[in-house]
Amino acid sequence: MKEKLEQLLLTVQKPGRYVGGEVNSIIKDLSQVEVRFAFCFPDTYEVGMSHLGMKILYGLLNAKDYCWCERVFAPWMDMEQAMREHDIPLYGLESFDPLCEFDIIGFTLQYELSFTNVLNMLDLGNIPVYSKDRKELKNLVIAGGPCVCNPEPLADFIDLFVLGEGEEVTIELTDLYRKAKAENWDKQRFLRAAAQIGGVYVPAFYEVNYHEDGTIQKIEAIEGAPQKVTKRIIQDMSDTFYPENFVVPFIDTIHDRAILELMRGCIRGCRFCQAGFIYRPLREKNPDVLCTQGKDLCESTGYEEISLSSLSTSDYSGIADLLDELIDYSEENKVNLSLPSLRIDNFSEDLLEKVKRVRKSGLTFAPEAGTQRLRDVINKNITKEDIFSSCNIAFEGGYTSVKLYFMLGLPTETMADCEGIIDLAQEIVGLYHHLNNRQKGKGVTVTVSVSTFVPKPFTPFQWFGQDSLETIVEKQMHMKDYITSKRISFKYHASKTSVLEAVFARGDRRLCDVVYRAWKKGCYFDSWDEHFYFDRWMEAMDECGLTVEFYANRHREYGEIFPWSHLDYGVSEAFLHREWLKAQEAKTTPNCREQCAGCGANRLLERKEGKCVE
Amino acid sequence: MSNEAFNPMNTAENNRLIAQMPNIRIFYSKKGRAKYISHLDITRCMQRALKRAKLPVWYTQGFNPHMYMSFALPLPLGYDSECEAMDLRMTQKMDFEEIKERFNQALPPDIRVIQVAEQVHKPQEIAKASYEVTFLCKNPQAFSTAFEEFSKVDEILVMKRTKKGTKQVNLKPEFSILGQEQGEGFVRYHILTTAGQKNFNPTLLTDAFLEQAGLADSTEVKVLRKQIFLGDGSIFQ
Repeated sequence: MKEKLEQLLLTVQKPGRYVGGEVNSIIKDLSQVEVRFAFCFPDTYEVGMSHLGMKILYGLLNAKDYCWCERVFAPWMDMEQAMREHDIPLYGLESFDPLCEFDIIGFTLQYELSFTNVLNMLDLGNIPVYSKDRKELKNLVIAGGPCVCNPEPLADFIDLFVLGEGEEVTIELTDLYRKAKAENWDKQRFLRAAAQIGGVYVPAFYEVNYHEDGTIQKIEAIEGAPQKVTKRIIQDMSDTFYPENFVVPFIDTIHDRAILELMRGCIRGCRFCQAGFIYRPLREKNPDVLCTQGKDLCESTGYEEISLSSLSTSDYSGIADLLDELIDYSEENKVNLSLPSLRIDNFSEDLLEKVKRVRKSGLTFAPEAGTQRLRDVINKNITKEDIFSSCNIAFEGGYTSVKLYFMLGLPTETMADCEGIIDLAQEIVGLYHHLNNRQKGKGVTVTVSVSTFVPKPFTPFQWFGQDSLETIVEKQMHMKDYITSKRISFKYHASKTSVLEAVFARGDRRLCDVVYRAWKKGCYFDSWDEHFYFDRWMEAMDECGLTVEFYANRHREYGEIFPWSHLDYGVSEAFLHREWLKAQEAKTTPNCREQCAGCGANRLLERKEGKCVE
Repeated sequence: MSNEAFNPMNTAENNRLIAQMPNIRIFYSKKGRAKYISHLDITRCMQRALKRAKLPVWYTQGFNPHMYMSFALPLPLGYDSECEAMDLRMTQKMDFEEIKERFNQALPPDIRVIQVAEQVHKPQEIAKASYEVTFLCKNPQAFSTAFEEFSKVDEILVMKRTKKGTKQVNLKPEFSILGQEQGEGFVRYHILTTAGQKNFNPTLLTDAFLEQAGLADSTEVKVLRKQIFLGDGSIFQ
């Protein structure tokens, strides 16, 4: 197979994606291995290799002597075509063995538009795509990641889903598989046992009944599976497994650097943000532990950059200590520090000074909405003054461009809110021009980037119907016309992908047929604009008698049973609904450090008598 | 090489000392999976290996300091090589064998340091390179007859891409065949080409032949760079 492959590699773009052999990739002696695990990322090598979760689980699984975890990515179209023509199945990058030779095939579901790639990868690996067609225990297909909070559109294809954080449950599952394999269990027996592990959701063990109008009547557990599946969390971030090295790619990937995970969860409670709710409760990692991990990673990889990763890096309580120590290390060793996800209201001069010593690039802020009223609706909890003072600090610090992120189609949004976005950008341009010590001869650029809001499960906006495509386009066009300054650069996105995202985010398992049909029609790599075929998706929906309107645009009533109602992510439905009502009155909720809002995620904590933050 | 003591407190003096340090030339092989690493990516790959090896590499002193590193003759993607040359500078005097050992430990297995030495020639002096070109084909006898027939003519005109666009060139004076061997399912040629400022890759020749002979789809070509030479025929060091 290697020889066959070699002939193809020089005929495709970026062959470095398909050859493995990178520093820190792990090769094991097959005769010593009992469980072979294929970690599959349903997108290209460059995207998948940037993903922290894969690095953690790859290190964790390979730390077990009995298990060998390999990496598998979706081949780009030219390679796929060549592979299909020459009858080369999708293979693990470490061994070059076909996917169908692996025991466990684990996908990570990071975004809805990668669903069809899951099917395509299974098919390329000579594995039947439907769970029911895989009779044996071998080729057990599992999936984790944020989209698993509503995995129903993939329920017919995946044998079991893993809810929440994977460090513990993945090992528990693999241990169980090892035992089952040694004792020759059949697949059913394994699934029944696996369903008893906390956080494991076996979709085939849940029967879903529908009302005539298509909404769900009831979801019933069978085969002894729990009526509610609760997500897993890691109790103590400081003593959980973290890899001492990363696989270092040969080719350029999206993020090719050391990553430190400062914390999980977020104190903010922005109502549109799914990550802000499904990763609760907040758990921070000790700064000393982080420093050690950062240095270890740099030494084992040779990376020239460390990224401090979290949902809101400036909310990490040990940020000052951490930066002080890391900056010394980074200057001495010529390593850059990068701090994505800084919040606008606590972006201090002190912090900017520290970031500036490291690297000077553009600054990006995310006000998300253009007017104070709408920012209160989404509970962003920043004011215009916060935005202005951050921009002022940036301009005075020598920056001449800022980038602002917004969403369109938020609940209660009117055309006045859309105009508010442009007004805000205009005022920032003015701010720069009134600056006394601005650099001579240098103009300012304010980039306004708008995306389309997608309502997600486990957020207060899960009841909200997404704006129709026509409404979004109308808003985008109006904003474009409303701009008068050349200093404002307006960027907006084709919103058709957001429509499909909205369908899947809150879709039920009847969509499995749609996913299958669309894939058969040639839909995959849907997140890549040039390969997104909206009409084929609409055809598939039609053929299944389903509509976009029902899933994406319909407003839902409190009390409706959602496709994910049997899944528990800690935050209670009662809390989410309270937030939904407050949102409609434009009332804000203080962050978790100011006052506990009683979201319910503290129930998941074993420590501190259920208290998440000090 | 300077024997003066390195003083970490005196930057200006140190820079003067470092400036006096000779350029180090590292010869390495790049084979197997490493042949899929493009020239652009090899720079990053080497930088990270040097960092992992904790070698005291000199950084440029500009606004955005980076590791000083220079490659003699870029290798096309997909070629194997046993004679790649990379130049860099150290901030401290170091034993060449130790550099080789530490660097090899940090490098991916398909890139191996062969020799570490002081730079002798300037990369601009490079004039020729030799390659081993292997054709995997069904009928080696017929193949070699056809290839030799092809290379005998006075003029082999092909289109060559350059920075200024595509233009027609005659390959004939840029190549010479040094030797040939044959075996079960392959023919191998030792080819010397013009290299350096004016550079010709063997692929130009093999592509032109395979296309003319209608063998492009049925033949696999493997190229191994063997040696780099100066104008007078001596080996680049």
